[in-house]
Amino acid sequence: MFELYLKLGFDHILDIAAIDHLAFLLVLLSSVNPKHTKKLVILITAFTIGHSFSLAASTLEWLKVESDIIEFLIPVTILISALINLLPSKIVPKNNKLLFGSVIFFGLIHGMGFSNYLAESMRNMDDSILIPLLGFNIGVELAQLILVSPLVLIGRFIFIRNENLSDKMWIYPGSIIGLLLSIYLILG
Amino acid sequence: MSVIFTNILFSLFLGGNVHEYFFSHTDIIEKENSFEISTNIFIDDLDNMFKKKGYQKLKLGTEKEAETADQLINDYLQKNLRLIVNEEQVNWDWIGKEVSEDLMSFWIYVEVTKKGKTNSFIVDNKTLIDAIDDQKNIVNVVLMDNTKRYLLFDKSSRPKVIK
Repeated sequence: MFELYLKLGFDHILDIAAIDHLAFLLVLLSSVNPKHTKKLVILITAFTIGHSFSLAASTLEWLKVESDIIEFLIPVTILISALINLLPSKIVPKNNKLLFGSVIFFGLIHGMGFSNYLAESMRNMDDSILIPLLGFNIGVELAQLILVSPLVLIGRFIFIRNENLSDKMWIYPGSIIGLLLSIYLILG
Repeated sequence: MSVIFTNILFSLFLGGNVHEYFFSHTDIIEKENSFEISTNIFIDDLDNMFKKKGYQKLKLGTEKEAETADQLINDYLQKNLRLIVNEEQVNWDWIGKEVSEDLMSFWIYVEVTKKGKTNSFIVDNKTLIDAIDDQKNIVNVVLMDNTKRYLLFDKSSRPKVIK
């Protein structure tokens, strides 16, 4: 059962239907220049904490939100995160708290989306949804790490070798792609 | 009421119910004299599949649902969710269907009358795989001898032998 849902989670990230994951990861990664090792580690840790927290919150039913609202909020959080990256710091202060807040929030609503589905699909059985939920989320995390690692390593290589490259060269491309994807997702 | 309201609200933005997962979930439970089968399947996926086959106006899950809908769904499921018990493909009786609490999916109930002891059991579930490339069907089988299996069917899957 664990393995089945691990595979589902892993495959889910590679499906085109999970384009929102890729958009969010892209925006998230764009916010920190990969030459800053410490910031990068903090970011990835925050993302994992966000997902783990969402896992616990949704399983224990601390929070319950209709799945339609969640599906709508996902692209909205991507849009906001992209805007935080792109807007000048006069308008949006470049504040790590804001960034990490959106990371945790995204993890939270995304985790709830799947736990809603699980709760419905497993309602006839006595089995706890904890094992499949854990499997699915670990599958998601693994696939995300595999997708993200080459991008970060190439980015690090380029930006460490070229000290003079502006941060914007890293921030803008991913954030703009993420912004456009989120608008596409919102407009359906 | 609030569910209906949010559905209307978000339908305006999103052009209908959306979901990110292309999954179905089926429980097959063996009882003394029968197999009880319940399938959870997204309504819009089912509707889109039938539209591709030329059934444009089934209006599944609404008050105006076509009278032929249950029969069509039953025939489609019988073709795609296959149980082979004691080397014989079984037919089932349609029990009914209901809309899930969040209005996104159907719960469909059918029942197979058993003919004696279950010596062999093979299951296959190709539901919606003809219409959706990423479709994944989860099948949970619980037999009387305490065999308990979680199975995953996708486009590359073949029928699975349980016993």
